[in-house]
Amino acid sequence: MHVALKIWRYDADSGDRELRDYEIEAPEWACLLDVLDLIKDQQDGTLAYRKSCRMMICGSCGMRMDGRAVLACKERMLPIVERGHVPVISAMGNMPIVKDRSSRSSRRT
Amino acid sequence: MEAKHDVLIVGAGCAGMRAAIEAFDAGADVALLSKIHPVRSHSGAAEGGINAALGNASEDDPEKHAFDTVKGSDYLGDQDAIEVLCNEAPDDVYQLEHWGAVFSRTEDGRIAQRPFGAAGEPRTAYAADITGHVLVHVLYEQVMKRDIQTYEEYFAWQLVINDDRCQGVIAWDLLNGGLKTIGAKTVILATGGAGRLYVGTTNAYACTGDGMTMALRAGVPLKDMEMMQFHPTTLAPTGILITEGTRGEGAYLLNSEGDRFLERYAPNAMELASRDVISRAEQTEIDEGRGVDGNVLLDMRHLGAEKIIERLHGTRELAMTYAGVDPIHDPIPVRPGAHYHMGGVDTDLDGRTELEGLYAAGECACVSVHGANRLGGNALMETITYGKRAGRHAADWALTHTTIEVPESVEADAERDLKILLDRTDGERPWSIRNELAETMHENFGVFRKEDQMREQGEIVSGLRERYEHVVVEDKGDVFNNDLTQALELGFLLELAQCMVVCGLARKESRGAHARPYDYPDRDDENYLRHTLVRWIAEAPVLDWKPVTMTKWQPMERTY
Repeated sequence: MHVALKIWRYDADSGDRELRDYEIEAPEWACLLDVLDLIKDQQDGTLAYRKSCRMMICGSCGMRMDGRAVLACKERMLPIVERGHVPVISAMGNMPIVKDRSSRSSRRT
Repeated sequence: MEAKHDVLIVGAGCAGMRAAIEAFDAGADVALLSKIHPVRSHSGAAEGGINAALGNASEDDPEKHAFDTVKGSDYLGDQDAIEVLCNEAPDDVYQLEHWGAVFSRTEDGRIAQRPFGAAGEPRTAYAADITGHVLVHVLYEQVMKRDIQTYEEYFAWQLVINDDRCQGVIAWDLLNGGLKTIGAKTVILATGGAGRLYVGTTNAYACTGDGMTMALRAGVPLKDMEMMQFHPTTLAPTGILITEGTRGEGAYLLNSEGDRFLERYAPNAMELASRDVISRAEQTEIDEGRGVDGNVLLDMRHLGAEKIIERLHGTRELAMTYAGVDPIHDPIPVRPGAHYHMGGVDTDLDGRTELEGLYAAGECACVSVHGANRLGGNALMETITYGKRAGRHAADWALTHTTIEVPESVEADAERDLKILLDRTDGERPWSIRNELAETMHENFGVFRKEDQMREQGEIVSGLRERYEHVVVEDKGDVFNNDLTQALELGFLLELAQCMVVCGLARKESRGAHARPYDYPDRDDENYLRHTLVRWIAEAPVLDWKPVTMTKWQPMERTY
């Protein structure tokens, strides 16, 4: 399937933010996390986000899709693509953004 | 040097955190270092439970537990290590309970125990089907309570070896960038497995064998690396885990003809035979045309909605999300997937490696408790019991030794090597190498192994390693550069793959997870009742052997 996304990018050095468009071919079983992986691999190695278990238990890939908090490993993209929708992906709220999809998550200062 | 500690633990899953707590309570200055937040560790994805002979569901004792484990290991497990595990397990589980682990209960309020594969008694304590998640959180509470320093999102890359001792770790600071050296009198590796060697795996993205390869590069041998367990019930296409607890609760495995095919492979234990036996049975059914789109079917409909929702709630959610199937109404398509490395860093009963000051515990270690095939529920138990033992010994050693010295040249060498990688702008990015490695390992080093395929895999991995020498990291930034850490992880995986192939070719028999039905279909105790050892010498794996420790059980025919 052909997936289109808009991703809020954040440059840690300059502090610049930019909503960037991405399009990529993905298998129909892909979830949002799989799509981000394909983009990072094939189009933009600087895209930053956390991931680990990819089975809804660890919480690493928490981010926002159209303003709603989601686990990227849980959100199947097929129904979104079938609706012709282009979701906007951004970092979790409540904590300062480190880079792209990654908010600060730890006690570290 | 950034900081110094008595005991530095790399990896903050169950083994790492249990080691940290024990070392702290022994009076040591302890720190944890992990590339992800501790509660995101893959221990948290363990579902089914933790084995201890509590005797709450039947007459049970540690000796029965030990025998089941020895037999399950296809006699490759070291029996002294297994006896230690099984004897200490009950107290270690009660310790977790006292710390607040919310185990599922019997009617009269004791810790409930469910049947599990190849276990003679219902011995697996559990918290519904999220046991690992519960344990990770309980251990993290104890870490917080002790205010143990945690280097979160530090990616450990190299061990510091000086004066023939391990004296710390060099890590990449993910949040801020830059290499940081943490000195330590003792280092405990607790970095988990390397399931990412395979395209279909239950393992998290984080499971890239970091600790195993760091030890290997430091001259420490790895043991039984050919022994990769394939779990019988994983979801296509990516290998997400469906717990053995489903079969513990009574689920059936069916082929395309609706037969409970295990009748023909394990007529007594049926769905509760050991994992190697069931994975081979499934693969045979699939290969002989009795599969369903490359899967068999896990049927739990007869358990009823109430039991499924109460005890297997997480499993139901996984099946609905990733397979589009509600197991209350339909069977789940499942197939074997890479799950657990029985092999790992060679250690003694206190987690000590050959290198002074270096310890290992949990999946990244090989004591060896699991031998050629691990029993479900024994991995979590090993993380707790051997995490505790490694933590205690490392603390005792550290408290009687005083100096930490990291020569400037060690840090300078690491900086130089990293700069070479980051400065490279022209060449291939790592992802296609990573994908080819995972696909070919699955194809050529899977449930069944053939001599020619293993040889071919050795050549493939050599070729991939050559390509890796010229790999390019696209992200040159300091902040959250996981483009860099993913490239370093691939380097870890490639060396492990080469070790596995060398060990697999050398073991000319079928034992546990290492099945060679085409040329060596039988177990050969005369020649191969011994561990493979592999060392890294001049950029290549070199094979050696090590005897198996036997205490009271002589090898017998293994049927279920």
